[in-house]
Amino acid sequence: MLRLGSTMLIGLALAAWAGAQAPPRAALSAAEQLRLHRANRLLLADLVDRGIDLGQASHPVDRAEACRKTARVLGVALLQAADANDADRVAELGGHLEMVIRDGLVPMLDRAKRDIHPQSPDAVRLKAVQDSAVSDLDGATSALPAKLAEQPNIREVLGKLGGLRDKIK
Amino acid sequence: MNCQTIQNRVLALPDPRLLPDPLREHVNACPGCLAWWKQAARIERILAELPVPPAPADKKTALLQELSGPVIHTVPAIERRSFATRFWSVPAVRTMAGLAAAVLFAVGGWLMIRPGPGSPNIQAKPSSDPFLERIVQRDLALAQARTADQRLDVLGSLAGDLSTEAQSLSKIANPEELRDLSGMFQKVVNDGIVEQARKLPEHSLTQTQKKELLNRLSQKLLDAGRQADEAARESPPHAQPALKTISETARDGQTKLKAILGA
Repeated sequence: MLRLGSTMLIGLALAAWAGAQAPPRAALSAAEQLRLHRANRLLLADLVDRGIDLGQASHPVDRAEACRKTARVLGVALLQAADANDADRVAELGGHLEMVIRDGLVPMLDRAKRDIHPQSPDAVRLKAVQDSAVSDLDGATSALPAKLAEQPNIREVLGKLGGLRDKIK
Repeated sequence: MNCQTIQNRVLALPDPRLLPDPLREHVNACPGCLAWWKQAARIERILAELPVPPAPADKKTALLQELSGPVIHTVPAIERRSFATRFWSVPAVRTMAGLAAAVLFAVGGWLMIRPGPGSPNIQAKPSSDPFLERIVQRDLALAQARTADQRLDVLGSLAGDLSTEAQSLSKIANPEELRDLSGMFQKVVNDGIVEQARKLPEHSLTQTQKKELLNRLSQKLLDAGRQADEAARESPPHAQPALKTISETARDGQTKLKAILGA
């Protein structure tokens, strides 16, 4: 009994050790890192610019507008990926777009709506930001070819973005 | 074969009177061996003819009674152990066999779960870019930051990300790509960190809080500049200008932050 138990224990330990020998999935080779950097070069520059805008803006409407522009940058990149028929990239960018809208733009708009008087000029500006955000989102999602939109991972992202559209309005 | 060998073989026969042909050839041609063989055959014949006296009729019964009496009650069983049984009874052999089985178990398990030659290589084509994801996260953090000092902290981290990426790519990216990265770093430091530090609302932070914030940012810039300097020493010539831009921008930003703090 002791022999059986110890043999199984050693076996499990060795199996765990062997499993740990698999290369880490997150690690990128230098060539792969460079390939991705080249693919995202313009997008990265735009996102850094938008980040600086977000760092500078302090008024609620200005901040909402800066965040909308960040989402728009991702939406445009998503459309370009769709044009290139790159499903992986569409899913990747769709995920980023969904995150920025869900955790950035929607809470920002909600807060601005609470803080801004409905009859004020800022409320009009805020409404314009909302309309633009919905328009941007529609433009990014409705233009996807059916072949891409039917893929399960992309369909899932589109479903989430559709839900967020209602929250922006 | 000499005579000694022949005579030994004759002795080894079950019945020396029945000579095999090879021996018979020699015996017929050799007077010494022939005489020796005749003697052996004669002894064999005489032995067979010796009279054996008959045993008493009750001798067998008496012997059996003697054997089953008080002397022998049971016959102990002698353990007949095969070689394999004796082999496995050695403790060291069992230990080694257990280890060997464990190794085979582990290797077999690994072979089952490892990606085969036809399976997708995750490292070959990852589905997402970790650096892009990090920049998106920084933008999101900037969107979620409620106060100017929180936004400054995020901008400091963004500058660090850009510096690290430039260092990481310095040996393989072309000069233009590296210049892009150093340009982004400059924008974040000058238009983001320094500019926003200047515009910090007067009463949003105490003097101590402001000092801690700007010192924290200075330290981030100092680290980014040092690392860029170190990377420049190990990078090819075409990467030097971009890395030097990063280290100079970092030092310049640090100086400006100190000036803001002293003002």
